[in-house]
Amino acid sequence: MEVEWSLVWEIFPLSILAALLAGLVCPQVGNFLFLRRTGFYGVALPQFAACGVAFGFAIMPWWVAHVGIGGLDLDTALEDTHAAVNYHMAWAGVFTFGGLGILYLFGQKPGSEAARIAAAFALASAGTILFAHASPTGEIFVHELLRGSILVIGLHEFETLAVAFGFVALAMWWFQRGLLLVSFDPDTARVLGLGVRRYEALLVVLIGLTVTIGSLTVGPVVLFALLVLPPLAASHLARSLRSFRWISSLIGLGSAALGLQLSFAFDLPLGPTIVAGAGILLGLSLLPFLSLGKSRT
Amino acid sequence: MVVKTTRGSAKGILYALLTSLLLASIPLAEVRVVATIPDLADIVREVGGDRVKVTAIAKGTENVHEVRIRPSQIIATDRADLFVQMGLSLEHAWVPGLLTAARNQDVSVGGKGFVNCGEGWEALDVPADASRKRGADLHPNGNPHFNLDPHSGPHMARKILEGLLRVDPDGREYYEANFATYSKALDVALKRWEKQRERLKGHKIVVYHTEFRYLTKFLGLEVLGTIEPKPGVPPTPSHLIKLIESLKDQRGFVIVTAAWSNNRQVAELSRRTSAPVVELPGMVGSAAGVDTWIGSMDVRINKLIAALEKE
Amino acid sequence: MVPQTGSCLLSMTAASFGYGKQEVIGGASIAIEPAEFIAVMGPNGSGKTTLMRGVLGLLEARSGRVDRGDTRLGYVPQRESLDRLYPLTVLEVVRMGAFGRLRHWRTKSRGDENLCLQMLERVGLEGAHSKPFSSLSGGQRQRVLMARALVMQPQLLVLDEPTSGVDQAAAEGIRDLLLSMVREEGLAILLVSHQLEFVRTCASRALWVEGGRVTEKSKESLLQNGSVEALLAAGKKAAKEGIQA
Ligand SMILES: [Zn+2]
Repeated sequence: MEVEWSLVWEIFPLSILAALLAGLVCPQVGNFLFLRRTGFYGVALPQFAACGVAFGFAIMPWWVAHVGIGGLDLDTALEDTHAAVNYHMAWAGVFTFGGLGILYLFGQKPGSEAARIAAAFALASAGTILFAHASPTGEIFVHELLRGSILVIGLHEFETLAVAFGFVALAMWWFQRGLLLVSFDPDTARVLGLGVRRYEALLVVLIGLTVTIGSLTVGPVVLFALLVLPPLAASHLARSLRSFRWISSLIGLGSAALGLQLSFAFDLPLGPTIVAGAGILLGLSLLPFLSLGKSRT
Repeated sequence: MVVKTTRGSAKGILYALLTSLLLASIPLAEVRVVATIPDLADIVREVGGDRVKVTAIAKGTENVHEVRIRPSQIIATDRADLFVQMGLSLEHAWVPGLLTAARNQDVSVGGKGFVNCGEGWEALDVPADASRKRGADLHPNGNPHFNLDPHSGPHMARKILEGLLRVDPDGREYYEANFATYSKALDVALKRWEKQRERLKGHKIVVYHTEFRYLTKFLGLEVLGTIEPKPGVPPTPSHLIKLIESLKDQRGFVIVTAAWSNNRQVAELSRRTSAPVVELPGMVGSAAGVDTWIGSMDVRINKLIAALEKE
Repeated sequence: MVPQTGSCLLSMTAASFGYGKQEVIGGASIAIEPAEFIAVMGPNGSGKTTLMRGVLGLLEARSGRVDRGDTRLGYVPQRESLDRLYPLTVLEVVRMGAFGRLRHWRTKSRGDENLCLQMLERVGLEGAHSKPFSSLSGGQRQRVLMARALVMQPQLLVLDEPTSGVDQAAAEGIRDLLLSMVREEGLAILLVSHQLEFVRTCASRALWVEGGRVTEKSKESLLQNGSVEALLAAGKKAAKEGIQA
């Protein structure tokens, strides 16, 4: 199919920039989830955010009557997700950070972390469905928000995404040593005088922020794919931590670029196509190993 | 295919092809229209004729409340001169996002090229209490599926005509002539349907969503129940149990669904009550041969007659 | 790097350490001078690791006093406690030793880069700097961690079971390296170990930890064949497995 790329750029600058930015930044956060063997968080946390969004919808009539959402009337608040995006982000944030807090508290107790996160994921998923059920507009708007509205991203959402992800990227770079050492070898970090708790808290904030903002802009599924798949692919290819970080972000960026290309060329929904792009790149990253395995046998 | 032609006729064909291509690429004041559903697109074609080029967003088989937007549709909306929606919150989950993304002032709400067919339509089932405190409901402004009302053709056509006259006043004569022709066709069709409904009066059905509310009222069908407890809310166990209980002593009814809602709950209810499932075209384009709004209504009524007279 | 002789690097007075409500070490008093090689020994579960964590400042003293002055500490953790999932190169691991003195966003500085390479040479791993850390043998990884600890430019080096699971030759290499650091640079070493043979050949004195009590054992008592074995045998049965492991 013939695509007029200049036209695509003219109409979708925000969507394209948002996808590329998410492709670049999410893997940096995902790297830590992967290396700390908490990749499960990449699945569970967007689900917390989703649960928060559904909860926000469910209590919206009460909220509009008693607190108010920037002067919006209930119908507008319910139906114009762009107008009420700060409200949705706030609830996504409350649930994401709340979920992180609960997981952290339970993390002090012995037991399998994977099982705990799986349980939390199941609860958040059920919560999402139940809250959506109680929402004045049923599940439709919750679905609409959660399937990823990256193609129809508004200016305000884009600005929020750019500021938040820019902050995350900057903090990741500025505090890279501390974040690395605290994750890899916390005892040595403490001996060297790095504040382990402060760095852990920073990481939680960065993860939570990425998930909260990402869930409502690129959508939980794209977010999950960009958090989890690029580090996984990079781990097969990287020969050093430095190259791991570069490759991971390049794969994230490549997934976004490939997804954009395929989406516009074949007129497919953007979000799932980005996920497919990440999957394709993950598959390609495994190819050298497949051929190696063959030559061995 | 092997085509054997003389040199001369080949040249002639080439010439004809080129001229037709050239003619096609020079539109005569072409008005670009985006319609949210294929039913509206069909009526735009009837009224707009050769002066319009129309794109429909939802596919005939989709749930109109929940439509996934693709890039080409945003591009089409960005370039559109006229945007036609049903309104009454039918497309409220995806039209605002689409219009925001397209950033086309002409077709945004209140713009010259924005047509809201729901305006001026007297909806059924308008909630007495508009506070939304009664829980989930996808139809806060009454039932928005009036494209499935056999009476609604003239209303939608008139709204579209008004929109076309606003954005392309030069085509007035042309549009009004088309409108008159189409109105006659609608009138003939309505007479036909009114005759057909005599055969259906008093028959009983169960529906999934309340999308056929206007149609069943027109046909005088008795709706025994809805599989969704409320519009947009998937069936809960207790609701299904109640529904099955209440249908226990009923005989000779059918379960009416559309493509998007012909799901496992419907199959289960059919198994429990041994009532057959009839899948009606939800919109134009939902099945092969359902190409026009009038045609889709014919298929619906004929299918219902065939199913209910058998029961 | 050479500390002033005579000045006490670390003193601990009647200090107690523990986790939550449980006290693991009670009333420990230690003084560590430069160029000392101190072994911490005792049965499994007796609190050796707790004492070490107290020395490093990873655990706050619940009572008593720990005075580290401005002594620079170096730490060599158990290599198995480090996740091999991290795709770190040898040099990237060694560089971490300098993290305490770098400006925020940087991961290396030129001076430290030279120091890192020097220390890798010192531990006998010259030329290995770009190899993946996780692909090295146990003994090699141990030496990388020692190079990292040396990059911390410590006055007191704390090692947690450096020779467990390492073959005889590698263990001897590690011992020689530690001894040369004590002799040439006056580094003080605190080493937690199960391996009596290893300790006997290098430690200048030993701290015996048992039942939450820390007692001093002289070099002589370590040299007396049988005395420590008897103590160990008297300890928990699990301790025996630990020594043999
Ligand atoms: Zn509906």
